[in-house]
Amino acid sequence: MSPKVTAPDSQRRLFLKASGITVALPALPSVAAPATKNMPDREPMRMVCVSSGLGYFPGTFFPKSFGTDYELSPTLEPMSNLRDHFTVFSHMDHPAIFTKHGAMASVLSGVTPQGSAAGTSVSIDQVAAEHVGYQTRFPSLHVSIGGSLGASWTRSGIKVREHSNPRDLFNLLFIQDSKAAIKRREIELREQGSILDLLRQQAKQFERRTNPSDKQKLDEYLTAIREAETKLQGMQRWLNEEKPDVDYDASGNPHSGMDYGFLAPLMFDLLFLAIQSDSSRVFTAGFGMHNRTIELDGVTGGYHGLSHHGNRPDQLRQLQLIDKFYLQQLARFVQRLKDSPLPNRDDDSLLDKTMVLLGTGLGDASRHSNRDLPTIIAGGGFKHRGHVNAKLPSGERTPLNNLYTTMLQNFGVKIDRFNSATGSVELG
Amino acid sequence: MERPGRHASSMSSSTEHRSAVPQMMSGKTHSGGAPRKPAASAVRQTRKARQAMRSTLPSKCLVPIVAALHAPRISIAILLTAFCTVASQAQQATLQKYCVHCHGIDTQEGDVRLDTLQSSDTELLTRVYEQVSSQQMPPGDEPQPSREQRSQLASHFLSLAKSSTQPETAALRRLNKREYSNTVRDLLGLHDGIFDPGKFIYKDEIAHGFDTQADSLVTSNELLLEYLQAAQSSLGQALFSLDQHPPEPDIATVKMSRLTGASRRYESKSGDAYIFRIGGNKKIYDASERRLMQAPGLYRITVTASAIDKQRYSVPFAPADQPPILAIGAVAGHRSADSELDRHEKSFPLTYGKERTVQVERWIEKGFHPYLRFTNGSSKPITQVRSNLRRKKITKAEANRQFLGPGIRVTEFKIEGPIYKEWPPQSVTTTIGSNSIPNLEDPKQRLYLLGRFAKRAFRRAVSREEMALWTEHLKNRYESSNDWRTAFVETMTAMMASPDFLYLREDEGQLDAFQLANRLSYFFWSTMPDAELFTLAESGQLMDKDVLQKQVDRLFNDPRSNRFSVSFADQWLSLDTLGTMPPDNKEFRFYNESLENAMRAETRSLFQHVLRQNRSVTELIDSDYTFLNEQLASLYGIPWKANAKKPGKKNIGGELVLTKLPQHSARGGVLGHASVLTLTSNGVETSPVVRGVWVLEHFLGTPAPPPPAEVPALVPDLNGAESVRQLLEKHRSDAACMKCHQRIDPLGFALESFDHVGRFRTKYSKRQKVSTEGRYMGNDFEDLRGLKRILAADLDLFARNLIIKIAEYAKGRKLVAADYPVVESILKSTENDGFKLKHMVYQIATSELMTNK
Repeated sequence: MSPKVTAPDSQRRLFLKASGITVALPALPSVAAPATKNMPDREPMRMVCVSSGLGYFPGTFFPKSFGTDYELSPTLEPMSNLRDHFTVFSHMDHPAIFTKHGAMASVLSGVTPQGSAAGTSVSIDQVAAEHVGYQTRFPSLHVSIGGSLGASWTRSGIKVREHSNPRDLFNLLFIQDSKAAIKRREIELREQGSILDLLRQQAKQFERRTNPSDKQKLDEYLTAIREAETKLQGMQRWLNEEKPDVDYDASGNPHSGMDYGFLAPLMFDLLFLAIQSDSSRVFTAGFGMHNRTIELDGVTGGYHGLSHHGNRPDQLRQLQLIDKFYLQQLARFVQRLKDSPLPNRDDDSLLDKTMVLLGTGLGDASRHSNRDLPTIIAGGGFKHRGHVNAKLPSGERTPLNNLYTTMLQNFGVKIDRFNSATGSVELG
Repeated sequence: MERPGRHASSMSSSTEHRSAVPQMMSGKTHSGGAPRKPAASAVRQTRKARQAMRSTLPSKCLVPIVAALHAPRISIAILLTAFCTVASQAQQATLQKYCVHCHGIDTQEGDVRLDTLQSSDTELLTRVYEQVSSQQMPPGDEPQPSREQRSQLASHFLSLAKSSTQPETAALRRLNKREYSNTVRDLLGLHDGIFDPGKFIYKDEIAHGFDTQADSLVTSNELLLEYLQAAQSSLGQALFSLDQHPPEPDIATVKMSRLTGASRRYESKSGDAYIFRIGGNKKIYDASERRLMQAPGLYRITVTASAIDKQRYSVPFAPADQPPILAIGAVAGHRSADSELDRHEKSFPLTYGKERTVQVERWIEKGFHPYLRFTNGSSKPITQVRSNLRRKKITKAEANRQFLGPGIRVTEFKIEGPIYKEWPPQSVTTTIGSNSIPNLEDPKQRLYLLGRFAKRAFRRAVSREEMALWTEHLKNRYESSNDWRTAFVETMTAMMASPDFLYLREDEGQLDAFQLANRLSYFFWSTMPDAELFTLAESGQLMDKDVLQKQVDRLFNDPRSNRFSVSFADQWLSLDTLGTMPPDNKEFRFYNESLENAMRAETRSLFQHVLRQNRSVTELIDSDYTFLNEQLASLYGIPWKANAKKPGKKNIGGELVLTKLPQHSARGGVLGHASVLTLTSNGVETSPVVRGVWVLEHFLGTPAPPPPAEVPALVPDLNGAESVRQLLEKHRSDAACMKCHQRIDPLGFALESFDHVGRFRTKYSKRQKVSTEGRYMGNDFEDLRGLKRILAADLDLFARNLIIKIAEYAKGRKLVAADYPVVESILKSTENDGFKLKHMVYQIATSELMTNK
């Protein structure tokens, strides 16, 4: 029924010029549409949360003027063709967060997850993932390069693992497991199911031997059993479903984990393919924090060192090269979504059904400030407003969780306020 | 006595409190700024802020800025009635004289009011005790009570606090990741190979304190599923066979054309040889599925290889003049193990152009496979090729074709096995708790087997009624599989995911013998009790004081107790964060993993030395020796005498040796260690504030409050000429900042003579000199050596904190008021003993801190 979809930018065969040697990047991707039975009746909404572990230099990130006809800032320049499709906010942040580098753990929740009570520190992507559940093969997918971001936390207080190797993610999404492996997994899952059943009975026995003060921990355990059972059923449902067929060459190799020129396009390609094949509807992705030298032309210093630029011109120049690279990657991804028409709908593109958030935990990494977080929301069918000054009449900043509330509502989650939100953000 | 500015700051004190509490600030401004927010939630937030303030009370709020001794407008008479329930006359006087002027009717520094203190406010009483006994209150620049007054006041508040209410103690404690791994290994006898049962368990996210803390160790559906998975695969390894006879060994000869692992640029194959020219983590292995071992066992691996192409280019490539080294190791077959290396790899130097046959015999688990590696080969030849191309040392043609640097040429790769020196093997005998495989057709024998396993897995006596559920499951599983081994594995998997296995459960009050055995074992060894402890728990003898003392001695002297000293030292001093913010790898080429390991090892070694040799804890503050290898010595600028045993051999990355420090060296004691100096820096620059905060929080146990919300951190402008000290002094001129920074900054400045990787320095730059002088606890010092003398002069404070920290590690919870009298008595008796660390640990291990919940 669905036609074979070919990625629009078939000229996208990038070459990386590095010291006179030309390295070919993954070539000519095109995707076969996923099996129709997996396609939902109505085109669903997706959510992609992209972050950077060291933020973006605020001096060149924030535009100087506001409104829809604002003047683009140097860092946002790569997004110039997409002006009508994103909103950039000034003066938004998580009011309760002062944890410096540690704020990456709070960027998607506004809560410091370590040590907070179960259920209180869930991140926005996981609320969305709970909403979708196993309607897709993966409730959510997480990928990062340059080290993990640690921004995604489940309701039970677990830090979600991220794929650090885009190739692993490719295999997970598109390479069929062997019949034998599926069979093994099936037996394993079935066995785990029967054990959970037994453990529920056994926990009653155990309860008789506990003290009143043990109750809370025991409840935590019983909840875990219940939720694990639901999860097992979800995994079992997808076990024998074939993975979508994709024509994409992911066989190249990066020189190193710092080969962003290779890794970043690959990461975003995989996100695109995963969205297009409806393998998942919720994603986190991004660029981690480290102090190695990112392999980009003109960058010679360690990344973390550059973020502590001390206003030295050379350091700032290098830092801006990196920031701009991030935005180029984002722009390419957003553009691709925009260029992908939805079947049977003339006007809408995949971008209208995909919210892309660009954020970070650090407003200004050079002084570890967690205020005024650079934030962009693109796509999602929103009516975009250019550059918005989110400073409230009181002089306070708008909580970022207000924006997240809007995003979750747009995703279809019935929610009035996400975590510490005080309201929502007008993007109607 | 009057200080200028007192009055003004007193007036503004309540505003300052608010700004000192981030949560509260945001709570208030929040509700004001966002009209849509319901009032109730604003109230909740404020209350939360207050709680948060309480919990971070030490010094955050108690720091007074008023020094008024008189309490205006209240008469002593009113005060006395208010105190009546709480303090005796002498204590009232002390309290009145030193505390109430800041915590009274007019001023309530940190929202604390002591003139209306109630005996029911246990939390506040405990705080007062903690503040007074750790000498944080009254603050340094205020009049101080005498030592005697202080200790009387402290013990009085302590007795009130602990008698007031039942202390709230931690509940069920889940095994942490380390303990889980060790316990599963011991329970299943998985000691021979490299399989790690805890590998796929989520990392415990610990915010503060130790990884043994019950309240941080949450359980979740994600974790539970991983426990099931881990138990399934662990039991798959351990109980791989319940046959009376071992599987037959086999010989597999790997065809050279089937070898793989390097990319095409770095490998070439022919019918009789496989050549690879890349090192690093690249592993060479058999490409077929058959490479995976079908049963765990001993395997004999035979490899014939030679080195080739020492120098085909005009420039040398690694390993240059060293002989190429071939390593043979084993690794798990799944993809996620790609980046892992086998710790038990065996290495063999090769000769150019001459074949050599080597053999390794080692335990390889099911699903694992052997691999080959070029340990000292270039890990990224392409980078070197490119840079040589730029320098025109290599032609473009050379650069574009197959890399021809030094390589290893393999002509034979043979795997024989599995071989068993004993049958049944250790994992089977340990798991089934018997030296011979029972007849599983016999229901009685099955019952015994499962009962023995339950007892060991649950680490206690298990009743027959309890077993009914498990035997029923065993029967069910047999009915569906018709195989007793499968049924046992499945039932045991369930046991290993049950709360009885995953949690340590303790009675209120005194622990029973099994619980005590567990407590001791997890404290010293981070694993389940061994057979001897089990027997003593079963007979109840462990409850006997002498028996307990002997067991403590035995556990301490067992090498496994290194798990305590290493995990404790790592977490106490936050050594586990070393390496999270490394310096630029291009600028600091000497900073590598082996240097980082040496740094960590130095601090661990000092702690272990003081502990094992039963030396005074003062040596953790200052000592005339430390532990070095050549790499660390060179970082410290200390001349290194080559190891006498191996003349000419460099001790790079080598083992650390106890070394006497040169006179006047500031390296003695933890504060002079590169580990601490590096982990308190961010890989780019040092900050006296960060270091000062670390010393207060980790080393001394008297943490500074978090900074007020709205004050941005310092941004050193590296174009300018302002020094860190100038910047900080500007910062401190603000009264609100000064309160805390006068405690924090001097400690940090003392460490400024060391850069962000722990090297000694006297200058920041050509123009800027380092200055280290300061004032701490009322004494001036010139540099770190002077500060250490001040810290070492009053060991009570340091030793007390150490006792508390060790007890918290052992108990898996924060201490409460009821525990402190025991701490005080241990402190007293170790004081008489010269604060010897081993004795301190023994006393903790035999005290009520250990024997009671």
